[in-house]
Amino acid sequence: MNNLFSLKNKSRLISLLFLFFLICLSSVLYLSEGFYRNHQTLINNQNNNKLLLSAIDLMQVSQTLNGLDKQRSPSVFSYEYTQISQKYRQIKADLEALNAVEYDTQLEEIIALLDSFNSVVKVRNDYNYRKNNLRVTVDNGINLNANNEKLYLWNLLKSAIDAKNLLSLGELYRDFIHVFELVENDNDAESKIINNISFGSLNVFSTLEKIISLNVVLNRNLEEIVSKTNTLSSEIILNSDNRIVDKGFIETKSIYFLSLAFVLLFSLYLVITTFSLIRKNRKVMVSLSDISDLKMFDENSIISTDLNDKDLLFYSKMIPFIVRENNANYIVLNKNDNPIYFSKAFYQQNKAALLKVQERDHHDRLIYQVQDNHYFLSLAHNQQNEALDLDAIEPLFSVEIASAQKLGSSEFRLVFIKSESDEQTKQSERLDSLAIITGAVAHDINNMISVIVSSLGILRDSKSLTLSEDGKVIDRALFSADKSISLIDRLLTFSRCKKLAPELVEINDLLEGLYEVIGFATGEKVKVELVLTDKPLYTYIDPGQLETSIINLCINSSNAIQNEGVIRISSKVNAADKLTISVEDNGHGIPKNIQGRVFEPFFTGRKKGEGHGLGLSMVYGFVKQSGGSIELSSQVGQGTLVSISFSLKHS
Amino acid sequence: MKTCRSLLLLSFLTLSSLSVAQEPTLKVYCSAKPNSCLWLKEQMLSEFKMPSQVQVKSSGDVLNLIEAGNEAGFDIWWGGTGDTHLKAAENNLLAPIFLNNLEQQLFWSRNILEISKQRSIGIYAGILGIMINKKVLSELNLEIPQCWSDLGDTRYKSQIIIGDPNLSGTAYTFLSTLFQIYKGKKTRQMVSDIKQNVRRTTKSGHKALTPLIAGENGISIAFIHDVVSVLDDNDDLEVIIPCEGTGYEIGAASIIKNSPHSDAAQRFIEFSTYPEIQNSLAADIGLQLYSNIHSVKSRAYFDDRYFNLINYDFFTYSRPQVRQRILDMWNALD
Repeated sequence: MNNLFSLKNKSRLISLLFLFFLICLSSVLYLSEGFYRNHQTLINNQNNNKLLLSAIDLMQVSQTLNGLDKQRSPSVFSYEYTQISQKYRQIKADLEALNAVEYDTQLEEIIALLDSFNSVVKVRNDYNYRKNNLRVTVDNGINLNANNEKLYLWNLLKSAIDAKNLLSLGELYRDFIHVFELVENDNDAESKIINNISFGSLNVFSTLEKIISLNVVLNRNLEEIVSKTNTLSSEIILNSDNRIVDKGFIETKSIYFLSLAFVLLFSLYLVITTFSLIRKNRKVMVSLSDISDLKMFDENSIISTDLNDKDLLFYSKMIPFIVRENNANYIVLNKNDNPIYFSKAFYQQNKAALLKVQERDHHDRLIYQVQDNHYFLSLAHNQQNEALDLDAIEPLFSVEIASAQKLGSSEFRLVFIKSESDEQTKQSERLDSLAIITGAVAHDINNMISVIVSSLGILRDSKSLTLSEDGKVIDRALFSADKSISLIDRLLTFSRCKKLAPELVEINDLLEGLYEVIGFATGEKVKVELVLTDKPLYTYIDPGQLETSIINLCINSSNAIQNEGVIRISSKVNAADKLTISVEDNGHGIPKNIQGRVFEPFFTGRKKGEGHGLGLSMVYGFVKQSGGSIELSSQVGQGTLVSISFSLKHS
Repeated sequence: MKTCRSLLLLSFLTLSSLSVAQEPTLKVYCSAKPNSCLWLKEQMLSEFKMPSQVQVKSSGDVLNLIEAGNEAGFDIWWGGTGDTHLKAAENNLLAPIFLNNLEQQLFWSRNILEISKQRSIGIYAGILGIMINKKVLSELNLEIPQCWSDLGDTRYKSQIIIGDPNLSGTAYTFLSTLFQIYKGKKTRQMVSDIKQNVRRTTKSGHKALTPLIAGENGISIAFIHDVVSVLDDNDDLEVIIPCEGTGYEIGAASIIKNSPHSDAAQRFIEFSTYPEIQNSLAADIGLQLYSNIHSVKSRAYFDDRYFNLINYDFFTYSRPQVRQRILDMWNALD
């Protein structure tokens, strides 16, 4: 009886268990499918977002395009063109990575258009170059003459060079022909020049005709590219909405609702299972985010990537606060300003200091401080008398805070750090764009000054000039013009527009040869030391410019030395097998906040009028143009070290 | 009697020699001003012994006629806005032109030949300007508009009368000039603002000037050569060249495809680019700028300030679909 009962019970239990098993199975199915769906939606959304980003990129490009062809100088144009074409190719690659191949042909079409646009611009640049030459000729010509008709002709030519459309060019030509008939038979040099630049093979009118027609074509092409880009970007945005359709959602939905009803009806246990599974699920979700971007900080054992439950919860709280870009640079502080977490990027950047924390003596204490928008971490070495000796504090790092915010209602603070590498890229980008602008301006001014100098030269030699007073005036003008040329020359070096004449140079010889010159340049209060390698160092470089650069560096150093000091010029081969020349002084040093700007042209630490602030910028330009690198390190009160490195030739 | 006979003989000889070299009578559609067309016909006969039968028709009408197959068998289409010629050229309704004096043609004239693929040559050009009636504006305490963008200002409500862009070349040139200066969406807003200020439109650009001269409204748009004579007589009127730069039209000439006398038609077109024809047209009759370098400059365009011009893109803005887009936009606005 008992047995029977127990048997009955057992079978009931089995069937119950079976039912329970079914329920569990369906709930597991439901949840895993749910998770899969979440995951899928997440990926879809991500893809979708990336698509949208591409569309936004396209919009940005179309914005940039609007400013592309405003008769830029060739260097500015080619810079912008490269940027834009790279951007297009980037977008194309992005779209391909997202499997959005349907936009491929359109993008290829746009890229092809852009390329043909570029080739037309190149043709126009040739004509523009010719136009500039003609302009110089015309500008020179005007000064030479006295004849009224010819003056009129010169002026017509001058206006023709500035003509912006075919109709005005035509009317200028009509006037020109009419007046030219009057002087056609003159056989002097001036008429020959006029004849040559008006009817010769490279004449003003046909050049301008070509430029104006090309401008129309370019304008048209540009509009086409812009409109195609805009169409594509709006197409992507429209289509991306359709992409989120979740396949298989509808048919599975009802089953899941049924099983959900099951789950709710039958078992408390199931609720608990569900709960725990949801928890698990969330963990998985969180782990999708890049946990590897997190480093935990523990005073005793530092840095582990194995994150426990608490960390995950914590991190999930932080997510909304963190800009989800790669390599975010941040730390999390508790209320005592103690760091709890470092981002991976931060850890990498300050690895040395943090390792020191790990290896420190157990008596030493760590001191954290937030001050003046900087975060300081220092190590206090324990002293015998237990009183804190100021000298025993070893600063580990200090970083500048970009922004800080509280994590929700918790006592923790999330602190973003200004990244040094970011700052450096920004600086070099700024210098690059400065170089482009300066280059374009300096180039033009250089052309104009050449005209001034040659005209003045002609005037100076002219026989009609009898008074010595006049000669003095011209000499003064020439002197100033020469000075401006040297200024422009330095600007051109900075903007890497200068033609270099590199040759194989032995650096130690060159430095030894410079020794005396540097002595003159720096004055007596400064001692110059040469520390050279024993074996010869060869490199391929423009020796004249290199000498100028080193003299410039030495002059800067000697200016930094107030009383007596030493400048040490050394050559060596560095770890990366590059040849390094460094100029080191023990002068007043450069404050950290302006170190980033010293390479900018016209930036000077000296008083107004004492220097142009072009020395370092021309060194910078020259080094970059020669494919080298330049580094500056300086501490206020200690001195400055500038080292320039070039590739070494083994021969 | 003898002299009489010899005279008769002489006249007969000349007549017969004329009839030997007699040109066929060409049938010409002329879309320029009637006076210009008449001068063309007479001068062609007296200078170059080319008889012609000239029919004055607006360029839109001519385009329709030759699109319908040129049933009247016309040879030449002389004058009329370049974009209609270019459209005909694109639809392959015109025959190629070869000029022996191409090097005497100014840049814009050759440019039209180039973009029409040798089908049309630019003959004359005219510059667009804002015409204002100073008296009307000052009575209403309105400032003189200086730029195209000023025309959209609500102060000028109901002050503008222009041709209907669907029918008037002047008004279409005005719109396409705006499109070329202000690209994209900005134009739409501006044209919409300007249309708010338009009191009404007329069937042709020229008719829009009548109310302006009569003092009915303060602002209109016109080609400068069309208004020079009026400007001379009326001190209240003035031409403003907008600060953004202005557009211009080019009048073209073409040989209609399948012309029965294509050789003569070639000569006719070439002769019409000679100073002998163009000088008077430029100086007195049409007052446009004419294509030959050696033709005199029009007296309408002696003022240099008129040459604040944009780099007009004739190719794009004569394309049928572009034209249609611009007109559709204009028509959709209210």
